[in-house]
Amino acid sequence: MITIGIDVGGTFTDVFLRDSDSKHWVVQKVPSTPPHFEQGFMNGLGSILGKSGSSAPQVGRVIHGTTVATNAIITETGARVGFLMTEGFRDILYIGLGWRPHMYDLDMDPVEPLFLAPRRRSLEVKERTDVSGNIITPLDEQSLRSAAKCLVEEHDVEVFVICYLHAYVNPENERRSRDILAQMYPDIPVSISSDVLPRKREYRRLVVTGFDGYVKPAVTDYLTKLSTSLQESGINAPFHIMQSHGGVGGVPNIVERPVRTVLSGLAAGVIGAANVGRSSGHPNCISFDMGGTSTDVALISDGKPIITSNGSFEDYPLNIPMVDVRTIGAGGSSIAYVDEGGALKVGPESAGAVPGPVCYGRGGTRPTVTDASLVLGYLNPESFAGDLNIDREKSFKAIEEQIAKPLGMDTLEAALGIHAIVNSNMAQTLRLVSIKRGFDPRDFTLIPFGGAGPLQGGRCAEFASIRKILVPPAPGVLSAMGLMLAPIQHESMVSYEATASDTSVDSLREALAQLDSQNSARMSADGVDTSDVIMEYYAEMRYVGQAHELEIPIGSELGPSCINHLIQLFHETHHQTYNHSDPAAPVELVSLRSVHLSNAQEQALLGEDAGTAKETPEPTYRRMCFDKSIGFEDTPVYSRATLPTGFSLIGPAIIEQLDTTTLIYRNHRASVDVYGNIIIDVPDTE
Amino acid sequence: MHNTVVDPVTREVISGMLNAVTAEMQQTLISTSHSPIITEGQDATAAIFDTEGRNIAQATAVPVHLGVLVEMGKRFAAQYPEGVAEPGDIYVCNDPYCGGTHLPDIAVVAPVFYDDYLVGYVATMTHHRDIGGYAPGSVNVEARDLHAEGLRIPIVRLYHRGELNDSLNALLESNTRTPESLRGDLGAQIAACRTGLKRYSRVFSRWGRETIAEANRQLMDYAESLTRAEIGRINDGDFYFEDWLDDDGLDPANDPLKIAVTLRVRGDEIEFDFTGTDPQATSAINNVPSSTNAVVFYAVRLLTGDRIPNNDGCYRPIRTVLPAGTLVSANYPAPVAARGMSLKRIEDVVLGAMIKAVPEFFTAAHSGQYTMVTIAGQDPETGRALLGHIGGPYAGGHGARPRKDGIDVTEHGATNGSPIPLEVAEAKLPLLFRQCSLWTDSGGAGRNRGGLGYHVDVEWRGPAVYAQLRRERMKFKPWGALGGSDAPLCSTEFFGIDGSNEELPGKCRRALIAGDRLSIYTTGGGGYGNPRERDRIAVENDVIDGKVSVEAAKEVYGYSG
Repeated sequence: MITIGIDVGGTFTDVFLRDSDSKHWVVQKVPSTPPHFEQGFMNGLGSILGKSGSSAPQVGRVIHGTTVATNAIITETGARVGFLMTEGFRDILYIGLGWRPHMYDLDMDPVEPLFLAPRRRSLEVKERTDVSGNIITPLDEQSLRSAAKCLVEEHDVEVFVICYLHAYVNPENERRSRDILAQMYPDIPVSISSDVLPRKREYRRLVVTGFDGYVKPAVTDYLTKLSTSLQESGINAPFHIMQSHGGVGGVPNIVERPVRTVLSGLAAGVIGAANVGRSSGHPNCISFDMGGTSTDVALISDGKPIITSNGSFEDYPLNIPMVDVRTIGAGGSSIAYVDEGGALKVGPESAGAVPGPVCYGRGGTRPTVTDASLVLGYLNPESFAGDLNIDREKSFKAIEEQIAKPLGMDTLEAALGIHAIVNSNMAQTLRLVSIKRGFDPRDFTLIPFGGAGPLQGGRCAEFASIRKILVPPAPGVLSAMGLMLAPIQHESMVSYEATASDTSVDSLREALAQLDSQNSARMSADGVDTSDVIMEYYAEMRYVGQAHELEIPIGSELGPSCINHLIQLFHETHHQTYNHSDPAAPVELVSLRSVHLSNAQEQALLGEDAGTAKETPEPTYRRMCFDKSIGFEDTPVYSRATLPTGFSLIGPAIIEQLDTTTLIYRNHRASVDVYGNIIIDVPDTE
Repeated sequence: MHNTVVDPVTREVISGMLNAVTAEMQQTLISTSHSPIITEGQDATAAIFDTEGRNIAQATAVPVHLGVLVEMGKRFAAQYPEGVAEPGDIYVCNDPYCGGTHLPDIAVVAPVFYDDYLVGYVATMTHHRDIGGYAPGSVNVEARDLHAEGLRIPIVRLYHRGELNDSLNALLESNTRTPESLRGDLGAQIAACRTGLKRYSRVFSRWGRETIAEANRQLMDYAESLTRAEIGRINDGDFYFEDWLDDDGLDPANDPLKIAVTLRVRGDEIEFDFTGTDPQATSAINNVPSSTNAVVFYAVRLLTGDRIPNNDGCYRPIRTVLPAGTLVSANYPAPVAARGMSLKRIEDVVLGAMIKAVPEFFTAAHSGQYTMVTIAGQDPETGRALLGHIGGPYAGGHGARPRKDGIDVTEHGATNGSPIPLEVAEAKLPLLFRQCSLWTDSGGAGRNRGGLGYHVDVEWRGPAVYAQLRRERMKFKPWGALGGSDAPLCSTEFFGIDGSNEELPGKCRRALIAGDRLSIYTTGGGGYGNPRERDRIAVENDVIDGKVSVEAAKEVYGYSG
């Protein structure tokens, strides 16, 4: 059977094909085709079938990572949303967060996603539920109907978004409203907050529900088109979409709650890293996806990505379960400059892909991290940027003029300085990401990928006290590979407010059973056999009075001691995360989450055809600079494909492959493991 | 030691690490605290000081904390210098007359050692829920002196060589109404300091004492030179501004109260002279120098932005003249707990002077107050204290800006609290919101319109309690700039369950029983530029979105549809 993973990004569409009979895999990269991403998708599909010599009927499953929802939000090009809110509370979005993330910027714009709808499209419905879930004002259907009518007839809304106060504890009025709207306007989709995110805190719930409605038509339209195209091309296999939490689901499930695909593309890379790590004996790792303008960092603990329900996207709260990715504004195209106080700064301003680094010759005039890499000899001007004509002289001049001269430095020293600063700053963020979760980075393996990851990763690791690095065999298409490895997975959540010591196992069971039935329906819709389903339960808990929750796993047997066990585990987790706990203090539950996932997916892809090379590889040499006191030195350059299993070397050295350059720093020891990964041991410099 | 050379790359790397240390401390502090005022309001700050108590780096979520620890850092360093401070020590202090702000803000400080030498201090400060005094919450306006406001803690050693001083700890815990909160939040501060200790000494182990000392010196010089460069762009001159507080809440003879400032720009130095400000108030709306200075530091940092390190160098080109015995620098033992209100007015006069000096950069007045309605009482059934803010938004609208409208209902100026969501507020106290919406026409008219304020209507549903109101801008409007209009006055209306109905004064204590309602109007920001010059489409959109009424569009903006 053939499985195909297709990860569509803004610039490239990466495709990964695996034949489970022959155990062979093939990768392919084709240009993305914005805004009609489905074309790039089909091009990639056709291309890889040709390359692998396979035919459409052989395809057993297609898995897809998409940025359609992501782009709709970033470019503010989603649907015309109309809000239906509790009477007296139409302004939850516009009043919004209430505080400023940027305190010293008088020119800042509001931090709320006001593009979802101007105030005229937020109308009120007479209804009210109190904090305990009692309906104190029944739904006035007439007020709902007239508000809906106004939204449709005067404002042409394409989606209804309903967010009533306290609907997370009692969804009755929202559900009733949805049913009425479905009768009135069967063609207009509805997103209701109690379905999308049944959690307390009206602004956050509204934002997520608003995004759900905002992306719904685009995602539905796109996935429907793709499903049709797949069928037309003779592929009748299951078609699964990556969700933000790292599990995949079928199209009918996805279009029901499409906001769950906002981090689809990012999640695929993290899942890829997690699997590469886990299957080769590195269960605790940090995925480090460094591209041109930014770097995405995520923690993987015990083989699983850390999932958060308190995350954000583009500074907007996005409190649905998602891989806990932190984006750093630093990448290969980050611009280096000397500020008016004479300090050398790198980023966050970026030259992006266009004009890009100075060396691209596409009009970029300000030196970037990539220009520094080129000047230092790390990048091969013949090959690293595909068909572009690379001009190292331009990079050198830009760094000389704009950095070295103003600082009274040698140009090489300036280029080394650019690297030192960007690596150190990223290392600080790596640390913050780890300690925020109570982890010590020394216990983690860094998995760098993306265009610039394997080049910078070594020094970042060193600065962040990380001792091991794993560079996977195909770091350029790790996301597409990750798609193949993700489980089919669905989750649901319910608000459950109770003091932990007063909670009965029976009520816990009952609440979870309700979640289970929702999930079971989703799993069976995706064709998963009940016996293949693994269930996981989580409770969000905190000390009474705290506002930040920790998610604690509940054992699946739900025995009589499970509550005590949960409380105990909470204290331990709190201590691990925050360095202190208070075993005497009362603990409360806030919400419950049930996760169903299939265990019948592809497991380790690696180790199957790694290390075909047998002979001792012969390096070529290039002049590179790592140390200003040494200057340029002849440095070995290896071709990755020629490295046999067990091969090892001590840096400095460069390992090149089609779309990635791996830099082994001085005294770092690199070796090739049986899975074809390059494992780098970083010396302890402290 | 003076011959150490630190190259720009090392300096920048060290600068990044110092920021990371304070960010880690702040992260620990906010995530481990028990009180919503810290976890949601983020009323907390973390800083590093050198051995002389100079601020090396600071993480703030609230500008009003800027430089707050500057004064205290020096006092800690003076009392526990090399030779006196010992590893494992932790000091605390909340004394406004010793560099503090008001009693609920407790600073926790730990000395940092490397190679057996004292190399500096790490510090945190947070607002605690209750520190005793006659009123629950310890931020009442009605105290007559500092000692009525709560427990005054001088600089004392809470831990000595890692050993907790049990007696002191018992004394602290017995002087608050919420000992669990105090314990939890002090614990969070201590955890944050320990994080800072570990991280800051790591920075030393990588570069050594000499390099760090030199880098710190250079980073302060660097921040100073960038700040001077920005001040240097302002034309020299004297710029006077005054504004008024409605009342002090206790003594009508004092009303209203004036705050005045003369801004003197001379080359690359700037002076804020508060001569002309009224004498200190009878009630607790007074400020001590570190509060007033924080607002001044904030105003100057608006010029430089947060791209430069937040350290002592930023403050060197700034001079403040704070006449003793006035609202901006009260004499002991004047009460200071409710300084929040006058802080907003200090902010207005400072920014008012700044907009005269740099009209193309600064804004019209923000709403100039935040609505703080506190409930205090006891549940007769459980005997537990009913205590807390009613929740919902605090701040009104932003002043209109040279290039943009003001932002609606968002914290502004030197404060930056995160409001308590309505659904959380209704869970914490027995109340029911009837309305929470933007207030039409509350943004001052102008070419650029002031941000809107809001209207909250809230019903009390619990046992008999008192609501404590501390409101401002009930008599003096937030001003417009360069021809822009003022925003309207704030107001509070009381609707009794018995059918009674009355306007409440800005500062009062009001008994509430179940079914009583408060209707609270919080104003927006002033307008910027002549309203008749406002873009027609912008006016039309405001009318369609209900931000400006049809009448106002016609009368004030000259809009005829």
